[in-house]
Amino acid sequence: MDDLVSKAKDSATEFKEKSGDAFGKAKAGASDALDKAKAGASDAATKLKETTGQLRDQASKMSKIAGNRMSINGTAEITLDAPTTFPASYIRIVPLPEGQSVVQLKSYSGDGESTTYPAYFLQGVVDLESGSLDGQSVPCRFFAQKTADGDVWENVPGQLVVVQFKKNADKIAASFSGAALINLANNSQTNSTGWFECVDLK
Amino acid sequence: MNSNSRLNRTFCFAIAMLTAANFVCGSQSQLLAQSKMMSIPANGFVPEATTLVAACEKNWEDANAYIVSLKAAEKANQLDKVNLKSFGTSAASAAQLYRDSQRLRNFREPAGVDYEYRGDYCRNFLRDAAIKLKTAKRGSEYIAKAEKYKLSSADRRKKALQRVRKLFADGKLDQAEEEMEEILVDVDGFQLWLSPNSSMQIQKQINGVRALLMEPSEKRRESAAAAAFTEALKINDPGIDALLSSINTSISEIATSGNTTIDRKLVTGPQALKEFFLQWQVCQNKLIRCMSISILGNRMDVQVTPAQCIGAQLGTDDWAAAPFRLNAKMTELLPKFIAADLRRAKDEATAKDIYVRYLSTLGFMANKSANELMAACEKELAVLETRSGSLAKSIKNYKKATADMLLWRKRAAASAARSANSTDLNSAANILKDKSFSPNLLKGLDQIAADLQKTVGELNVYASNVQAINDNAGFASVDEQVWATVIGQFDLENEILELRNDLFISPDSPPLSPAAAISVLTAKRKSLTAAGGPISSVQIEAFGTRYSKLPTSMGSFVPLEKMPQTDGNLGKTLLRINLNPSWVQHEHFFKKL
Repeated sequence: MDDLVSKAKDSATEFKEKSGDAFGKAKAGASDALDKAKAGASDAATKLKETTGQLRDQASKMSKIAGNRMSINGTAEITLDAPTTFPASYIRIVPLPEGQSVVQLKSYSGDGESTTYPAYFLQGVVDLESGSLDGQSVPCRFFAQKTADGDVWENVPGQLVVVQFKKNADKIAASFSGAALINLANNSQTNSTGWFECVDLK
Repeated sequence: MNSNSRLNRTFCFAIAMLTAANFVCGSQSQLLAQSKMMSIPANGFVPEATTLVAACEKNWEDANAYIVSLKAAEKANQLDKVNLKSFGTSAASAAQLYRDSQRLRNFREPAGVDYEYRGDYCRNFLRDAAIKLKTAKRGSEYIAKAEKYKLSSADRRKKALQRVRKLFADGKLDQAEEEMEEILVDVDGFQLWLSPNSSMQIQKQINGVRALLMEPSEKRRESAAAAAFTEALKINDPGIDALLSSINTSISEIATSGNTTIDRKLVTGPQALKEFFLQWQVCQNKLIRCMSISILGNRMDVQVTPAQCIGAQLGTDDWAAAPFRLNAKMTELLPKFIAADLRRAKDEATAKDIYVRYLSTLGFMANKSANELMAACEKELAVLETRSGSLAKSIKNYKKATADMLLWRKRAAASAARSANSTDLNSAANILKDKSFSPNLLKGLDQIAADLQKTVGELNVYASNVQAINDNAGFASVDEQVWATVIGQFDLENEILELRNDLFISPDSPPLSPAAAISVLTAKRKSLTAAGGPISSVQIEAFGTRYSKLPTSMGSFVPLEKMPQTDGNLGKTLLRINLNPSWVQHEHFFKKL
């Protein structure tokens, strides 16, 4: 099991790096298309398609290697009392009346009442009118629980977890480090790290 | 019987109560204080009962203080040094305590049950003590004094008895009983010193007249009680039929004009809903009182029936069924205010305004037993989400933005509460409950007090579903036999502020979902999921006293989950547990105090 996890981790890192490259390539491809609008457009588009196709293949490969851990429903790992992997990872944006938005990260897609465990939920307020989530740091409220009726971890009161977002092709990557969490069942505090590969929750 | 006969007792032997008190050592006076704390108060539907309870309490203190001194003296092998002067007066106190307990029982006062045990105990103890004291160092002196007094007072006593007979024959029963009581107190003051034969002579002299008064006096008291219960039932008429009619009328008026008149005041739909909810609380409180008073008056000539108290619209005359039917009616009717108002609110601005106001009312009404009512109201409010327009969108988005937060806060609060490691009150109550007082009182409360406090010890408990009474206290009902008071001030301002932030609530942005509104408003009025801490004290209360005079502030449990049950035993008890919370749990946060 540990083997698979570390393999998945390696694949994820590899994937991240490759994605980064592909993204860069796609960017360059897009700029080219702009510059050589008439001639190069279709070429660039084809390149982009190929890259995206490569990414998808890699994704399904990784998914098989990791045993569905890196699934099409996203994945996440957060250090609570120990590094904990979560079965899914979703992101949702909800508009607020005054123009700001709520960004939510969660490990479940329904109303959460009958969720599978382990489960987490993060929520922060972000301004999306000036730009996308990509590259933003958002202070978030944090909750996690490993089993039903088990210990609940929450962000230390007054200290929000600062989550960094990065767009990752059709997923959103998010991460945080050095976050102060408190285990409400025994009042112990811990310094936590976490990363997420989220799919959009409509 | 007026209070004078209880205060101006003529004793042959002078009393110096202080003398007896000198034998009472420190810890014993603590126990005395404790048993006073454990006394059952008078209902006082018949005012005379209140006087009798006060007299019982005093007689108990007098007799028990002397008994305590006798026990101490015997233990120290110093029976010869006991104050013999006070023996007679203590015996008189014990005998009157017992007689008054019977009078209280005639009045159907639960306190009578307790004082009967205490009176019996005192009489028996002193009767047994007489045997020892007669052979004590100066016992023979007092025996001689008593015999002498018996002879010298015989004439006076004979005339007094004749006076009683005449008063009775003239129909002046009250006065006859009063004067008989004076004779008895006088005789009790020396009777225990006499030899059995000598004592029997006096008994023969007074028993005839005494027997004459017995039954008529009992009947007089029972009649007075029946009349008082009848009056009390009329005063506490729940007015259910009238309430249901008013609600129906108001709903029609809201549907027509968006306003309705209650108690000559013109109000809106949300205001009407709140007002009728409050009236429901008052009505239910009265229903509980009527149940208790009616049962106290069982098999007496009470002129108001259960059916008359409950009314016609609920279609039952059964106390247990009445609250269920009332709940069902209210759950059916109250949401109609919302439905009527929303149908009229065609434009978005009006709809939003009325929606926010109803959420506020829901927050006011919500509590653990009101889940069905809340669900019915929320169903009506949900109609707004099916409309087209920005309001529907705003509500949906608000729910998306807050539902998870509430769910996780609930889990967090539960996790923290579990870590507090307190026993639930029901389990604690099972440790405390003793056959000698649960379900019915089988001993005097004085016999139970000390052991009960000892058992409480270090018990760390939590009470669920706590409602605030005022700034300093809340209460929680466990079941019909146990209830808890949560005493102490605590402030939740910070927790409420954090909750409002998490729910995007500000003075300009009200909550847009029932769940959010209920969360904040229950926090504000300290309606708690649980409160826990060490038990500070326990009390045994009488069912017939607690429920016959249930204060309106304890009407917050609406809807009532179950009508308290009794088989009518006058000595039926409740266990009241007082706890000083060291932590509180709201549905959406936990706080260590």
